Amino acid sequence: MTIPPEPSRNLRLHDLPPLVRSLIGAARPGASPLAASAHRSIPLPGRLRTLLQPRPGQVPRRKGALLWVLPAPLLLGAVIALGRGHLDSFLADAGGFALFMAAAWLTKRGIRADYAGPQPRFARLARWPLKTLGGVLTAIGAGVTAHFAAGHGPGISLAFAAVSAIGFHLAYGLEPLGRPRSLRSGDEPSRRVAEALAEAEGRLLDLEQTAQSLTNPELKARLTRLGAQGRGILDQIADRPTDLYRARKFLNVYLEGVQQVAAGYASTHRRAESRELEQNFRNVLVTVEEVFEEQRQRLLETDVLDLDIQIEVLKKQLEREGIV
Amino acid sequence: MSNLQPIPDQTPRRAFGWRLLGTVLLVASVGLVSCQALFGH
Repeated sequence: MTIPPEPSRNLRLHDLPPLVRSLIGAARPGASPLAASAHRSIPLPGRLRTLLQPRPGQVPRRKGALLWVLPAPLLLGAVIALGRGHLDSFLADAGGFALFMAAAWLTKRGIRADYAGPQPRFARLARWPLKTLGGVLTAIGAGVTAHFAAGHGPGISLAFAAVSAIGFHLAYGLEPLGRPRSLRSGDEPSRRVAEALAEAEGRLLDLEQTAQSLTNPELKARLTRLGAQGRGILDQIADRPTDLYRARKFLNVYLEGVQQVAAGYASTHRRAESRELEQNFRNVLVTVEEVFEEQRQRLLETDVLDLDIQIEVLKKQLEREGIV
Repeated sequence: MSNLQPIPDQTPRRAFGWRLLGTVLLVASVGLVSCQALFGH
């Protein structure tokens, strides 16, 4: 295998956007695949690329760094105020600085959570909107600092808070209020489908978490792949909820089984290393992988069969009405 | 033939523009107010 040579050219003007983007933060995880591919396709000189562009799935280390740096003068101001014995100024500066630091910390946690694996689509898991809280604290910090530390009036302080909130939203984004509901759950059957999907997704999330805790790279990769296959099947069921009854065995037996076995393996493996146990677990994963693939194929075939029947019925109807 | 040509994708550039504007606003508000607080002493 030959490695293609790195482009050896100087930095040009059109390289600036990706460069600055890497400094502010890379493509958002929720961005469209098209946008993401366009982001990746913009070439950077080799060494800069390795330095600045994060690998897919990796949390960009510089994203959110600005929030740690910008309030630094406040710390200096607090120290100077303390040295001069101005308690009011010290409290204002230190309070503002603490608010900004809390905001930066929450934002960092929020950004990390964004990059931590696939987001749940069906399961409504309670997750704190950390970035939104970070944005709110940034705005409060800017307002408090403007009013108490810089001595501005209430109007200007509010304007500072508003500008920083807008800036935060544009630079880092806020979490959407409430999760988008992917399925209508008004009537009883739809609600049952939504519940089954949420439960199955919860199991898949557990499975993916277990996969992350494994040390064996091969078993980790197999389990991660199983998770992806499972998600594919759930998407198919979500597209055609009638498939739920066909996939019941998959949801109730195999998914639950593999989740329990994987969790059991992960906890036992931590305490005792056994080649036999590893091999058995591998065999189970291979079998389950085949079952998942079969399940996917069966759902696809049913789709095709159903479509064939619909086409046939439509053709018969058109013939009967003398159109064809 | 014309519909085989790639559609120009403005999304990454526009998203970058918004993010840059957000950064400028953050610097202008948080950075400025911090500096004002420092030099106000």
